[in-house]
Amino acid sequence: MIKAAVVGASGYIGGELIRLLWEHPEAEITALVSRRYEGEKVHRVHPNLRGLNLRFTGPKELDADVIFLSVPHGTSMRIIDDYAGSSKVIDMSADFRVPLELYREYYGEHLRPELLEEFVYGLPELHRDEIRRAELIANPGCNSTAVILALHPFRDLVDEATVDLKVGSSAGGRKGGLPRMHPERSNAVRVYRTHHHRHEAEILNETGVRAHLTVHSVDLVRGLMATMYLRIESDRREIYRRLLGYLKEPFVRIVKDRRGIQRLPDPKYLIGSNFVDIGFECDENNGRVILFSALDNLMKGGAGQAVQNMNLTFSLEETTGLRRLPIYPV
Amino acid sequence: MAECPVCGFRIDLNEVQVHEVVECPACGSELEIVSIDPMVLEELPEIEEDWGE
Repeated sequence: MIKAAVVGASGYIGGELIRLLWEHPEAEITALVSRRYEGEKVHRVHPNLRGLNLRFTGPKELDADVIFLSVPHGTSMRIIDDYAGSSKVIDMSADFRVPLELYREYYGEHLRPELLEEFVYGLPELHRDEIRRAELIANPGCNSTAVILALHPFRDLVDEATVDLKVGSSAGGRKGGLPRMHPERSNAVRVYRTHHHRHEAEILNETGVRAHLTVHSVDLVRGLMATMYLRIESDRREIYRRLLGYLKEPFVRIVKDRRGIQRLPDPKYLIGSNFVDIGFECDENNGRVILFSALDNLMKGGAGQAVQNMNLTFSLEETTGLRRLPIYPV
Repeated sequence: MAECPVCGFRIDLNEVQVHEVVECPACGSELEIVSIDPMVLEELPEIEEDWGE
């Protein structure tokens, strides 16, 4: 069994990691670290996990083969020395996802630049073989995963893309404050970031496409939808040909239907699963292709992808513990 | 073998009949077999959805 620990286990991604690891047939949870909730029963913070008889611990030396760092951006690079070396590390933050030059452009100074090259970008569809050999994995976030997987097949056709993102509230973590109160948050379509979003750095690094992200917080708890507008003179068959490179990917579904309730990707139909759904439409009169990409931000956009990376780096079948269908209706 | 008219995927078809509807294993499109010899497939028409616009 793989001994797994989660540092920063009280957040939404942390809670989702606990749910997945608890049910994983080849993993056992050895520690759930939370400074704030040290000693507290886990279900007091994650009520869906009642009955597991787990408690949070404080920071300590961990008995683990793999440690998931589920801490805020900027924290991972401060605490990485406490955990790397004896265990594999899967970092959920953005601290080790891009080269130094891009990091400086989008984030500022890096505290551990010498470690950047040791991390592998944990997007299995693009870096499967490197992940299998990796000791340190930088797990991509939800925005990046949705956009990179959709844009990657078209990276030789475009160098820019306009991207509209709609994200659920859980993507913002467990922070409080007036803007997040229910009367303010409910029914809102709030522009969260107009431009120069930090995750543009990852997208540029992985695809070579300079994506211009505008992010909206919408009235969902889970789920993310990316709509991408590309200047491409192409037809339906060519777009299909490129996307069908994902045909053998276990967690990528091409969704483009002419019948039924769902015609194009919609996060509603994949909540709780590790799928990312990608679809498109050709606007041939105007020389455009519109791409759509949807995922559950806590699964393929977070904890699910991290477990997929764990499976790869421990030579397990990639889908182990992740073969779950979406919950419907939600 | 026949080519999906939507995505170009080569589909292995055995013992099918004219007017039978098959699904492309690659893109999922529903295709009607309009001719066996030569094998000709056509995409089923889109069912329009009225979303109240």
